[in-house]
Amino acid sequence: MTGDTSTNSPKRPDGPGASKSFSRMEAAAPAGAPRNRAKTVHKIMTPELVTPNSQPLLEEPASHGEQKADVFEKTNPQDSTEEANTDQLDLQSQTLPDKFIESLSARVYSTPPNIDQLSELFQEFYVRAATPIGTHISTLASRLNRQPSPSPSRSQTAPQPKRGLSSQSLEKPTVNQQMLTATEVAEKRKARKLLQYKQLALEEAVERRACESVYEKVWRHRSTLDEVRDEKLRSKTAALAVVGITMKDLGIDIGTPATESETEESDWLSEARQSLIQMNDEKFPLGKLQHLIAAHKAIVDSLTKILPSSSSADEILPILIYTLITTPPEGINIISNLLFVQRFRSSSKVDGEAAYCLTNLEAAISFLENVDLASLRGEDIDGVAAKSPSGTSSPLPIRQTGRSRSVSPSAPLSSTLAGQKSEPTVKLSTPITSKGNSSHEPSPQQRLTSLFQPPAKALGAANDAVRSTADQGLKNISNTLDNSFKFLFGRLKEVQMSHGGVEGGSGVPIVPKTLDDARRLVNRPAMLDDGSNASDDGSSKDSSNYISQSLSRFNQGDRLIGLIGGRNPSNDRLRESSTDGKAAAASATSTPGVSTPNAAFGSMRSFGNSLNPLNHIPGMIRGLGRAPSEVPSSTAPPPTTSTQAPLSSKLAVSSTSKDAVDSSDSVTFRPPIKRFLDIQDPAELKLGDIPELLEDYKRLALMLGHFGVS
Amino acid sequence: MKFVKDDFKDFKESTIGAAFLTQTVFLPEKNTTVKFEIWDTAGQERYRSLAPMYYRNASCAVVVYDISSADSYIKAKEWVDELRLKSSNEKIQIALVGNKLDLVTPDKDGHALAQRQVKTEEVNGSGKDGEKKGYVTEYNEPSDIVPMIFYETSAKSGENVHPLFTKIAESLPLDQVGPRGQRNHLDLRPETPSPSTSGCAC
Repeated sequence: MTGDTSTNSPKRPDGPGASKSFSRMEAAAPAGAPRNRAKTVHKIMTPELVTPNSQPLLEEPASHGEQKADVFEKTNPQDSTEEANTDQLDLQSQTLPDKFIESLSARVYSTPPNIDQLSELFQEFYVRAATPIGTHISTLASRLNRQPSPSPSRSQTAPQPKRGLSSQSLEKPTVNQQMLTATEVAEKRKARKLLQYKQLALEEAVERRACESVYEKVWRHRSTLDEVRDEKLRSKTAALAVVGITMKDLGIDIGTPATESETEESDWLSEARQSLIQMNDEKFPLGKLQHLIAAHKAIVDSLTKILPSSSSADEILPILIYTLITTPPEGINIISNLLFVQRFRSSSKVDGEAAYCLTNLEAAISFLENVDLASLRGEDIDGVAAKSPSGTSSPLPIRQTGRSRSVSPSAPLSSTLAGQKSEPTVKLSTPITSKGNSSHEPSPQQRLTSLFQPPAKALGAANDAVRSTADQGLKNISNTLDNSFKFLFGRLKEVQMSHGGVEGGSGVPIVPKTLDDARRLVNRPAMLDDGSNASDDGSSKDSSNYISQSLSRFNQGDRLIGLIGGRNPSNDRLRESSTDGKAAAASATSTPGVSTPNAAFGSMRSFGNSLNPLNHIPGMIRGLGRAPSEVPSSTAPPPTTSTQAPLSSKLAVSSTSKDAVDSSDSVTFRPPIKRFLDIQDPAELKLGDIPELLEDYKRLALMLGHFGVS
Repeated sequence: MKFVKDDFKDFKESTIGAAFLTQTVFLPEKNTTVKFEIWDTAGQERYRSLAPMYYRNASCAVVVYDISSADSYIKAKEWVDELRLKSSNEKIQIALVGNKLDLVTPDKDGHALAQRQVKTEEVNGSGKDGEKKGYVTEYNEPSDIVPMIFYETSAKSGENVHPLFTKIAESLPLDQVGPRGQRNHLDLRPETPSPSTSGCAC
């Protein structure tokens, strides 16, 4: 429709009805058409080009006629022919897909087509649709080639670029028309380029129309599991976010200090996140793809700011993964989007950068779908196991092995989880007493197992809670953390005070026999109103009842533990994630900053002591006594000495070595680590902090127990 | 990836940086233009399982190691084996490239920045008639195999990079050439110590 404007006009009275082929045949018309005519044509074109009319030309012919009918009678038919051509094309780009869609619904299938068949049909259709478009474009191109004066053709070739070029085309032709100048040749070339663009644009339009018209049906087609996969991925990324995966875990070491870079990261990745989320908004493949590419671009752009020299796949892929993890799970349907593009994007157009971005996304998703903490930190866990003193009875390594076992579906606890549709990323630390860990005598080992079983249940419950409430939990976690530490601390003070008051009196502190006890004590406030603590209070006064007391208390403990899961999931999640964190952080082979060996070892010792039934009481004291000596600090409170008397009487009952007691004259303790109290947002919590946090938590729990908080 | 980005002016960078590049090579004797699409893959071990996604449909793969790191050479050989075994394209053209030639080349004063750890002979054999076999020469012995290409390059100075890509372009069968005489590639190149790979997607 393009090239022939000026020359053909006189020969074409057929007006809007002119077919493409017709005009094409005429394109061969003598090039010697009067030049002044060409000029007039241009003048006529001017208003049309400048006005916004250049978009849909449907109603144009009429207006044209009205405007120019009087003077430029002859040019009208020609103009409208072109417009008709454009219309035809535009129409074509609509009717083709429409027909295709019709055929889709009309066709009779024995079974509804599944997504792969649909995708195939679409791909076939794209190829088919490309043919008429291609024909049409080549028609235009050949016409263009024969066209002596490129200017008119140029101005009319492609509807989209028309406007930008219009001013040029208006001025130049008048000057250059006499001869084929270099400029004209260049313009011709440009025109050809424009034709190519137009072809592309048309093909895109066809694709877009086809996809948008059935978007609701093919997006997450019912024969697919896209939505389920997305759901899984969301819970997985949420879990990874809770655990606090860092760039480092993904294999990127960004040189800047952790604190700085973290805040920066979240800023500079926000654009990429936005782009990923926006993929939802588009209802056609190209649109989604463009957002994906924009996300990549955003990643690269921000990367260049941080690491000026490099933006290779070594960084881009991990950051894409990290972006996916840190993107709020709501509203992200990345898998559905990816698959939609893969299925319905014309395969001939998936190449180059787009193909690379798609592959990158696919790889990132595949990584996230298959990763679990054990493999992400596989080396790390091994590192811990190696570091932990082999001879000692260290519950932590046991838990870690348990955890890595739970990854396999055969592990009892995780199997229940695996049955559910979302794979838990935060794998539970299944407390399996490792047989290889023979340092315990049989009986303590049994004891150990029995001790750990209840918390395991609680953790199981908590794990469920993690998955279901991962999002909200994220927000709660910091508060809980904060509160629980504040409570601990406050409680401690209170006890201290009361002891100071009743020194030498009957207030006998309860020594927690187990970690359970300690934990129970921590959770006690929740029970205060139940009146269930009455017996405990009584018990603490009568040391002769000690054993029976502890029995009853144990039962009570079970109940409490049951409650923990329901009442305070985030609290448990904290513990849980801290075990995970410990596993990872303790080892981070390349992290010199983490003082984990000490921390881990310290907590192991106190742990171990608290577990041994024979000497747990002196052990407790020893544990308390030692910790301060290692870290000299703090408020050595006078009341501690007062506990000595009641304690030793108890010790006599339980017939443990008095030497141990003697060795622990001074029980000092430190306040909770202030840094953690100040933390407002769990995001501020580093992975490396978790071991420390856990240890401190336990330490405080022990101290609480020591002072008989009940 | 200084390799391409800073020092390779004729590599055209895409909007997404050095991870995806295009490079066109003209072969005068065949009157053909080969367009490489160079895909970078993440070289870290933990992402290794994802690599097949990148090299599927690739017509060639460039495995790059650091000649100042014996470790990277070992890993590069693993990559070669993997490509040989797992690539969907049985005729995939593999190029093994020892990079950082500039580091081990002595300057005027005879000082090199790094010690070469992988000898050329070790890889490519020595002697005029290949008396002493190297990894590549041995690898290329079976007649039914697509011979591996070997080059030592410096990404920094650009030394041998163009010959490398020309050689790859020449070695690719012409029937893969598309209608416009263009074709794309993926290739893989290394992060510093670990070999990464890149391939050419057609």
